[in-house]
This record gives sequence, C-alpha cells and structure tokens, in this order.
Amino acid sequence: MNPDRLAELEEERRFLLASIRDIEREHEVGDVETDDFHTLRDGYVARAAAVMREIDDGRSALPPKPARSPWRTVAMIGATLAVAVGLGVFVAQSAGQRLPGQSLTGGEQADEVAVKLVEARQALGVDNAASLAAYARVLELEPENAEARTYTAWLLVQNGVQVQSQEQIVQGIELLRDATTVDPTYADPHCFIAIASANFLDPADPATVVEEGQACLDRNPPAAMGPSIETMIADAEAQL
Amino acid sequence: MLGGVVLAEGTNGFLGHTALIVGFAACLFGAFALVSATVLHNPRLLRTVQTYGWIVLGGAVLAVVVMEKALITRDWSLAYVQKVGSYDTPALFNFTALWSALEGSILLWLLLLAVYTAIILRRYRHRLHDPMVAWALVTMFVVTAFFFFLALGPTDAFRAAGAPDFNRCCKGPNPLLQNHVLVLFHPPILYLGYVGFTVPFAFAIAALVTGRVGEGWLVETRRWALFAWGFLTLGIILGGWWSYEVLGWGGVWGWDPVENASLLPWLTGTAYIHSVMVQERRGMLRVWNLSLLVATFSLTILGTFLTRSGVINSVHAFSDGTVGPYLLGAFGVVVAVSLGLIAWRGDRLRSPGAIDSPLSREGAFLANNVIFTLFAFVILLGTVFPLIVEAKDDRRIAVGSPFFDTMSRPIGLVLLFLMAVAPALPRRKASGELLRERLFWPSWCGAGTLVVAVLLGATGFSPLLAFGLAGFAAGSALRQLVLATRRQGYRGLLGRTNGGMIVHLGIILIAVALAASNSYSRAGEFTVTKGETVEFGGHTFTLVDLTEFESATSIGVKALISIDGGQAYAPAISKFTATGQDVATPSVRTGLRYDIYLTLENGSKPSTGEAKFKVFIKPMIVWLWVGGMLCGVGTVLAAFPGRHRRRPTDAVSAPIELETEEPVDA
Repeated sequence: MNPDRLAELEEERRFLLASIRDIEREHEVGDVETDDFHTLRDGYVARAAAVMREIDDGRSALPPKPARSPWRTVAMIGATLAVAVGLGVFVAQSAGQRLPGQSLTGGEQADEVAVKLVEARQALGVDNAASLAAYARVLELEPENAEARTYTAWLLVQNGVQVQSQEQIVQGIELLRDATTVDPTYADPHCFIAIASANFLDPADPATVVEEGQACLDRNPPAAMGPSIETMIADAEAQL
Repeated sequence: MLGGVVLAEGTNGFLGHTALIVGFAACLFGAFALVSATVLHNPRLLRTVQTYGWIVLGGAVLAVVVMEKALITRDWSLAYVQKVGSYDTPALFNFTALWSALEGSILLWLLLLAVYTAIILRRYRHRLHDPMVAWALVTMFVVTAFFFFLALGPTDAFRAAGAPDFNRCCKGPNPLLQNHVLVLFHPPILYLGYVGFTVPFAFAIAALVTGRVGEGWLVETRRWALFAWGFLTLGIILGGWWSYEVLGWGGVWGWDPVENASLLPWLTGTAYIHSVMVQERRGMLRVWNLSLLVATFSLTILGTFLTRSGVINSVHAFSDGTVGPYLLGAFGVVVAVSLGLIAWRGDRLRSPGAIDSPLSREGAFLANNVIFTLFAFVILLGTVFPLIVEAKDDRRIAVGSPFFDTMSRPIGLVLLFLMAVAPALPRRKASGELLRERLFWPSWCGAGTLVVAVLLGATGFSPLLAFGLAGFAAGSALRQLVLATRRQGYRGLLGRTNGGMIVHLGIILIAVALAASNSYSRAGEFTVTKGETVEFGGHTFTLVDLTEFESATSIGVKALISIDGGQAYAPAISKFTATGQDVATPSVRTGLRYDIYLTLENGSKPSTGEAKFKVFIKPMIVWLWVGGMLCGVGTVLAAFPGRHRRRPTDAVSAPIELETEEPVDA
C-alpha cells in the first residue's frame, strides 16, 4: 500500500475514534437520545473497524525490511570509511600554514619562504633563537632574501649588545651593509646601521648615523621607526 | 510611556523593533494555531492562520523598509547605519548596504522567507485543514520565527548607537560592495535560492510527521525545488561574474569559504532534483531523497554559519560572535529532528522495489547522486578541515585551491560522462543494441568536438577529455531535444526532461569554459610609459593615457590602454578614502574565443606617465555567462508541464497516449 493512503486511513481512524468519544460524552450528559446514540455509535464503530482492518492490511503490505547480507553492509561501511580516510589524508597533505590575511580555503598555498618569514617575525623579540632559526631556513631556500639577511644581521648585533661583544656588533653591521646591496629600496638595513652606529658602537659613529639614517628615511621606513631616526640624525649632526 | 520609548530608541529603531516583535509573535501564533487546529480539529483556529501569515509578511516588509529609510536618510542613531552607512556612498550602494553586513543580510533573508511563507499560505489557503499542508506551514513559521529571533537578538539591525564619531564610523559598506551594479542582484538572487529550499524541506518534514511519505509531497514541491535550484544556480553564476568584474584577479571561482558555502547546497540540491524523478516513477530512494533535502536545507544554515559567524577568520572569532552558536544550534536541531523523523518513519520509507540494472536511467541517476554527494563531501571536508585543526591543535592552516582543483577535475569528468549517457538510458534496463543506437550520434558529437579542439590547438589530456565528454553530453542533450521537438513542436522544449536538457547544455558550456580558461589562460605584467607599446598573446597594448581621478568616496588612477591600436580600455585602481582599501577595476574586451582582461597595478604614477598593468588572456569566458543564462532558461522551461502528462505519482504501467518525459524512439 502507498504510504500516503495508509496515512489517510490513520487520519480517518483518529477522526472516527474521536467521534466515538464525543458521542459517548454527549450521551452521558444527555445531549443525545439513547436510540440515536446506539445508531450513531454503531455506525462509527463499524467504520472504524473497517478502517483499522484496512490499516492492518496496508501495514502488512508495506515492503518488508530487505534481507541484506551482513558482508554487504560491512563492505559498504568499509568502502565509505576508506574513501573518507583517504580524503582526510589527502586534505591533510594538501593543507599548509595560513598566513595573516589569507583565507581559510582557496588561493595558492603559501610557500615555505613566506611561512618561515611569518614565523620569524612572530618570534622576533619573543624568542630570538627561534626567529634566527626561521630566518636561517629562509636563507637556505632564498640566499638573497633581503629581510632574512637584514634581520639575521640585526639579531647578531643585538646578541653582541647582550654579551657586550663589540666584535659581534661590528660583524653584524658589516652584514647589514651586505644586506643593503641585496635590495637597494629596502629601508630596514639602513635604519639598523644607523641605530647600531648611534647606540651600540663604542665609540659611536655620528657620520654613519647621519648617512645611513638619511638613507633609511629616503626609503620610506616603517612608521614607528621614522621619528626616532630623525632624532638620532639630529643628535649625530650636533656631535659632528 | 510610548513616547519615551520612541525618544529613547529613535523612530526607526522603535518601528523596526516593533515590526520584528510583531512578526515574531505572529509566527509563533500561526504555528500554534496550525498545530492546535490539526491536532484538536478546531477549524476556527485555521481561519486565523492566514491573518498571521500576512502579519509575518507585513512585519518583515516593514522592518526592511524602515532599515532602508534609515540608510537613505542616514539615521546615525542606529548602530547598523553607522556600520555600513556614509554620507558619500552613492544612492545605489546605499540601498544595497542593507545586505552588506551580517545584520542587514539576516533582514533580507527574513524578508524572502516571509514572502515564501505568504505565497505558500496563499497557494494552499483552501487546504489548510490538510495535515500535510498544515505541518509544512508550521515548519515554515518555525524557521521564520528563528530568523525573526536572530534579527531581534544576536543580529539586531535596529540597535541604538551613541552619537557617531565620524573619525571612526560611518565609512560606508566594504569598498568591494560599492564597485559594481551586480551587488544589487547577486546576493538577493542567491538568497532566493537558499531560502527557497525551505519550502521543499518544510513539506518533507510535513510528510514525515503525517506519515504521508509516498510521492504526494514531491509533486507539491517539485516546482519549488526547481525554482530554488534555478535561483541558486543563477546566484552562483552572478557571483562568479562579479568576482571576474570586480576583484581584478582574472578568475571567476577561487574556492574561498563563501563560494564553497554556496556550492554545497547546490550540489545536494542538484542530486535531489535528479533522484526525485526515480522516486516519482518507481517509489524508490525515499530515504535518500529526504536525506538530500535535509542536507540541502541544513547546508544553507551551515553555510550561513560559516560565512557569518566570524569562524572563517578564526575559530576563536566564533566565540566572540553572537550569531554563531545560534546558527550552529539551529543546524544541529534541523539535522537531529530530521534524522529522528526519518528513523521513526523507517518502515514506510522502504522502497517497493530495487534498481533492476545499473544500465538504466535509475542506475545512472543513482551514480549521479553518489558522485554529487561525494563532491559535496569533498568541498565540505576541505572547507571545515582548517576549522577542525584550529579547534583541536590551535594551528592555523589553509586548504588551497590545488586540493579543490585536483578533486573536482575527475569528479567533473565523471559527471559529464553521466550527463551524456543518462538521457539515452531507458528505465529499468537497457540492451546493448538500444544503447548503441541512442548513443551513436552523441558519440560522433564527442569525437567531432575532440577533433575540432585539437585542430584549434588544444592540448593536454584533462582539457581534451573534458571537451570530448562535453561534446558527447551535448550530443545526447540535443538528440533528446530534437526528438521531442519533432514530435511536439515548440512544446518539445517544455517539461522537466526537455527543460532539463537545456539546463544540461548550459552546464556543459560552463564546464567547457572552465576547462578552457583554467588550462589555457595566460598572464603577463608590464611597466610602460605613455605612448609605449608592448606585445603579448598576439596583441599589442599601447598606453594612451594615465590620469588621476577623484570621486566622493575614492581617489584613483585610470589608464587608457589601446588594444591592437583600436579601442582603448580603461582599467583603474581606486583607494577608498574612508578605509584606505585599494580596489582594482579591471577592464575587459569580451570575445567569443577569449577575453582580454586588463588590470592596473599599484605603482602606476601619472606624474611620470608610468603604468604597471597586467594582461590576462582568458579563453571562452563569455560561454560561462551564456551557459548560466541557458541554465536559467532551461529551469523556467522545465517548470512548464509538457503535453499529455501523466500524473507523476501514477504507476509506471498507467496508460498514457504520449509521454514527454521519456525518449520514445527505438
């Protein structure tokens, strides 16, 4: 039997049973004559019985639960799991680090250089050893990367300051000078040479501070750096 | 007292909130009246339902009108107007600012849902006593109530704000949403698709509640599902067009989470409108069809969650957002209730028969369904995988386009093959002889297309296979249309099968355009000075002029680039002064064979007359839009009944003079 027909019969059964209850209630309070009550009730009961028989027949005519081989079920579950696991492994292998501003999905996967540069920037000032390691990896992949060369040199200068080694500071400044040749438009190595020459070299080198500080300002340095470089240049010029 | 509230909230805030509260209450009363009338057989309550329906519609319309008025009159007393409004935004984009952020989008969703509910109520006004209709309307009222609740609470667009600080607020919508007229059409049409699937879902729930899980409810909802699918298709195509015309990266589809969220219900919806035909004819796949509808509806909710909860930026943003938990909760409730009802009605959902042969129309539809479902699973997995990893390991990862491209290529090819074979297959089973005869011309079409593609210089296994299969599928669709129009004249273009074949032709064009543009696009970047000419892809590009321009909202640079010494095209790049965001405006020479797509890059300096620009040569892009239009036309034609139709729920053996749904040759 079509399920729609079965549902219609069930609805009719609900209606007939409710009608029997109603007529019994009305009879109890005296709203229906006893003869009429019996006539009406018998009619409803007969109809309800016929509908219920039809429902029983209909239910037994519903398609039986198909006999499925357990092996078939196991095979289907296994195949589904295999596909899901395979896809999961593939998506995991295809995924890469999400860089700031990058969308959750789509676009090209960030290359290792970009990922390591982000790692290095994030670690800078927090965990300088990790930052240095990330920049070292960038330089392995891209030896002429201006940012990696600049910041590796700058971290060397900072380490020299920490351990009070003028030798390391001078070595770092030399590496910063090399970095300026990699990308002549990059401001940061010029700024760092100026800062190191003003604050960490003993004695300070005001001529270099003025020259490199000006080179830094000419190359549009990060906004936070500009004012302090200007102050350093002014101080150095006063010393000259 | 009332005056005090109005003064405290502002007129628009007060009116908006009132409209939403009235609409919300009407939804609850409407649902309650229907349940009471159906369960307690109280016909008096039924008479009130229509009134509640109109109140719901009135509430939603009023809320949207009030918000539009607030945006147009720049009522800064509302936080939403401060968020997306601006004195400088042009009128069109000020109007579309309604759906440019979360709160307004929910209002638009609500309006469309209320319209659908009112139409259903009107359409079935004489059948409200029918439990199936009543429960379907209860479901619609409940879903509408949920969106009223969102609009009143977590995404309150009428929230009052303090005095505006014009240095920080009131900068207008996202610049990308004020750069092209498609912003007027793409979101509402996409939403018509999303929201439209509520109707078949509501009838599916009603069928499960009433136990009438036969084929009757399918007939009631066939056109609703078709139109929802059509709108969703059109919305997705328009989204691709918008991306192409506005974003300046030269592509139409980037697999970003918002795009994926729209594709997911499209995939399950497409599977549904195919497999539903098997149920109508043979009574099979009942559980499957219900599951597909539930999946489609719940994926629209999940998609809204993914795109609107802040989870895309980070799972941690999700906990900061207010709407995310509600949407995720709604998704869970929809899935749990639906699966519970399916399990409850399990005994009635058993199929009376089985698929006789894999080489049959039913077998092909089942295969098509498996592939579409697999496709949906792949996209879903790729989209939520980064969220799962971030939630579990606190690692921020991304799944790039290569994953989606790699997976979608073979799936697309299999679907093209099925699209070629399925229309030629008869129901129940096919003989080898019959298949040979029916697939003869389509096969030649496929082979011919392949030869033409090679002669035109196409290379590469994957695109050539795509072209060959596309020709095969197009041949199959055209064969069906030719046979139908020979028999019935123009009426041979009507009806689900014939309209469906036109949709197939549209999809085939889209597939070919995507295969060609993904495989053979070329790009070059140039820096030239005024008057200088460069050559690329067999064309010359001369920088004629480079000027600065200024509008109320932006400043920018525009280049005039002459292609092959002829017409000059004007790519530009603008900086929106309020947000500082750069937005490229590409300029495209559209052609039947390929588009030449020009974008101006940052670093162009009118002072020195030096321009940096990119050229993309994109093959066959125009056929993507033509394919989209064909899909729309096919959907409309599919909604018209063909001639001599048999009731879809009649037995296959029922007599019929002539049938439009089947090829009758052989």
